[in-house]
Amino acid sequence: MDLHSIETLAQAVSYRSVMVVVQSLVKSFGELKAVNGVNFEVRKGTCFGLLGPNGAGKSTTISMIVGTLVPDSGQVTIDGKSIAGETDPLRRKIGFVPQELALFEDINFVQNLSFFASLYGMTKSETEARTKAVLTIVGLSDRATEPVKNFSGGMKRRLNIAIALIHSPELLVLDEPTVGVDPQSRNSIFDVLEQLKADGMTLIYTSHYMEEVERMCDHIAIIDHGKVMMMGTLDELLRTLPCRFQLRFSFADQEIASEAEAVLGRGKIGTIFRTESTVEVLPDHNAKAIVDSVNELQSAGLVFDDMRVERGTLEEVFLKSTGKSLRD
Amino acid sequence: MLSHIVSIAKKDVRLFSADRKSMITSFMVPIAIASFFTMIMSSGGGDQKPTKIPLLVVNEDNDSMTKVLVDKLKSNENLTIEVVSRSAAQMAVKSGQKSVAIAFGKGFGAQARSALFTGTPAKLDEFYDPGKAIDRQIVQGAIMQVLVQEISKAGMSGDGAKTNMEAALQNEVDPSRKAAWGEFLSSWEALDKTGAMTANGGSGGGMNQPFEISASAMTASKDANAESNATRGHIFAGMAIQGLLFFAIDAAMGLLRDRRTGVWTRMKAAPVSSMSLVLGKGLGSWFIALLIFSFVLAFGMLVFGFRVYGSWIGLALVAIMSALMTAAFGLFVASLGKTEAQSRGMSVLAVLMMSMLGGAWFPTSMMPKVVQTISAVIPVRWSIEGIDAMMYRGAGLSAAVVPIAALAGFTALFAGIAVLRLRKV
Repeated sequence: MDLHSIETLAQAVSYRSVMVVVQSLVKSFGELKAVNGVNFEVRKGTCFGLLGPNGAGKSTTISMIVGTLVPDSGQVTIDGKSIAGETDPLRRKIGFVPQELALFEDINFVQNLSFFASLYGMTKSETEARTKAVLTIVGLSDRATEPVKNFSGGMKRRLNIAIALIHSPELLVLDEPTVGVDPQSRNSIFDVLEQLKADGMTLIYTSHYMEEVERMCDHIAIIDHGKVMMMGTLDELLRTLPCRFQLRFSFADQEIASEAEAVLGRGKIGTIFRTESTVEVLPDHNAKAIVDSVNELQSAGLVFDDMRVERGTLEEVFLKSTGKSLRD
Repeated sequence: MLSHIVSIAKKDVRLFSADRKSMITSFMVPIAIASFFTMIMSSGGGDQKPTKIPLLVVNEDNDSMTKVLVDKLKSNENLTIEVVSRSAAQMAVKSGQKSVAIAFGKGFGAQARSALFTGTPAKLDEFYDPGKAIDRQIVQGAIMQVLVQEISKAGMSGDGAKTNMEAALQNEVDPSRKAAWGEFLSSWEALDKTGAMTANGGSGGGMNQPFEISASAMTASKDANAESNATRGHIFAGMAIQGLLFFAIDAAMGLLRDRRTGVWTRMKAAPVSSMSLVLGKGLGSWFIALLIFSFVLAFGMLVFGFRVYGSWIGLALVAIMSALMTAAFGLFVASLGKTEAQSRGMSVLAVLMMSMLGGAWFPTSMMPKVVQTISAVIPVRWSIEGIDAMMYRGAGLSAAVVPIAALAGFTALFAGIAVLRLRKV
């Protein structure tokens, strides 16, 4: 086998292992360019995270991937094909979990699932079998015939996911699926998603919660103002930080903290943030950052109550690439 | 495609029946409003008497005919007469205690009789509350009938008539008219001598009462309650259509809610055409609207006793098309607005205007000419015309063709706009 054949084969293997390809995607709403040349690939069986603040262009990108919005330019391919029209069977490969609770509260769980199954052309027996399986996946088998309006917020969120799974999609696209969910329900949703991923499903997950993306995603794109600012694995992204840790000092009151902010700023140790009586230091380099910070504070006669060294996060990666906080 | 449409429609019917309070409201509101209007706007039929309008009468005239006029008004079945002084009448109307008063001034009787032949007409003073215009119209109708009958009878018979004709002859300056008056007087004297033509059956010669009103309600039914049943049927038809339009607004709000909650987006992510989604929503709304319409009319027939005297098939087709038109109207409303709050106020206003201009509240014939012309482009009018024709007018299937065609046109217009706009969202 010659070199060219090997390259072609490698490309073909690579092609078959890619579930979603997003190329030069552009979408404007009037003057606003919501998505401005977004590119990425999602490999089969992986979880791809789109991390960005509200209004960054995540939902618009998602809408174009699931085919509910037509791009101005660029294209999306799902398993090598573009969605051609409203009734394209390719849509069966996609399960979509909107940010909102897109379900009917006045009817029960099974009736909700049956309705959406009918939109995917599933037969009665297929729907019954799949409903049973999906109920088990999301852990709501015992509430199947209860009106949805009686469910807790977390249970409704799980139903929101269950509806997207009813037709056995290969790709699950989740748009901020944990908005307004309590920590316990959030964990239970993560358990469901991790199980799906373990079963080989491809996931695209958007969030502005960095902890969720860190936990769930193999590859992450940081998006802001409709553009991908950075992309890579969690480790690759964290490696872009000049320092893999941050310092957190706690002071007795805001006045001292404010003085400390000024002192540390003058010391040119790194980027300084103050939140009430806490000051965070994102060092520009690893060496001597801790020692320098403590020395600066001691020289100024500022006593701190507590000091912690914490691992760097995507929040700092985002801050570094966009100059603003994820929650701005 | 059909299975998708049916699935969406079935889901909407299921949602409608799942929300019991909303469902009961959809059925009961038109029934309650129609029952209310029926009770206040139609006489009860049978032994029930119509509500009488109180009328204050001032009589400052000593004339015997004027006294007869007052007595005749007292015996009118639509009026309750109270004779008072002029100042008391004016005060009572001004204060809103009474809606209408009339005053026969001094010399009214004599002047009215002579005015049949010569001179200026007698003046009947009327005092009315402008806020109660309907009372005034009823009173005017009743007194005109009594006054024309009695004045013409008194003025055209007896010595008074002869005196008036002689005065007319004397006052006339046009030679040809003077000659005509002379011939008329001679003929009248000849008749008066024979006593053959007596006034109102009495003796003494003169001329007869010129007319009597003989009223017949033009309904297919000939029974004693035909008129009130027709009114009830008309009111129920109008309120049923208005109820359907309000249900259509609810359906539109449901669709806008689907858009807000992401359900619409989720449905669009499925391999289903926008056309199927819109038609599915329309089919569900149509089915529910037809149920409401049938239930409201059935209730009216059962409780208020009106019947279908025309074509049942025609009525069914008009009902089907009316329900279809309202379903399309709901989609149209949903396609125009972006949010529920934005659309609800405007659509409620539109429904009220359509109901009013289309004749759901009052017959279009009571409205100004320009409004009657406008009502031709109001779908409610065609629904009501079709239903009225099939119910109390007893018309055949052919009379339903034009209303059905008009409703089909409005359905196509509303649905077309809705499909075009909703496929983009």
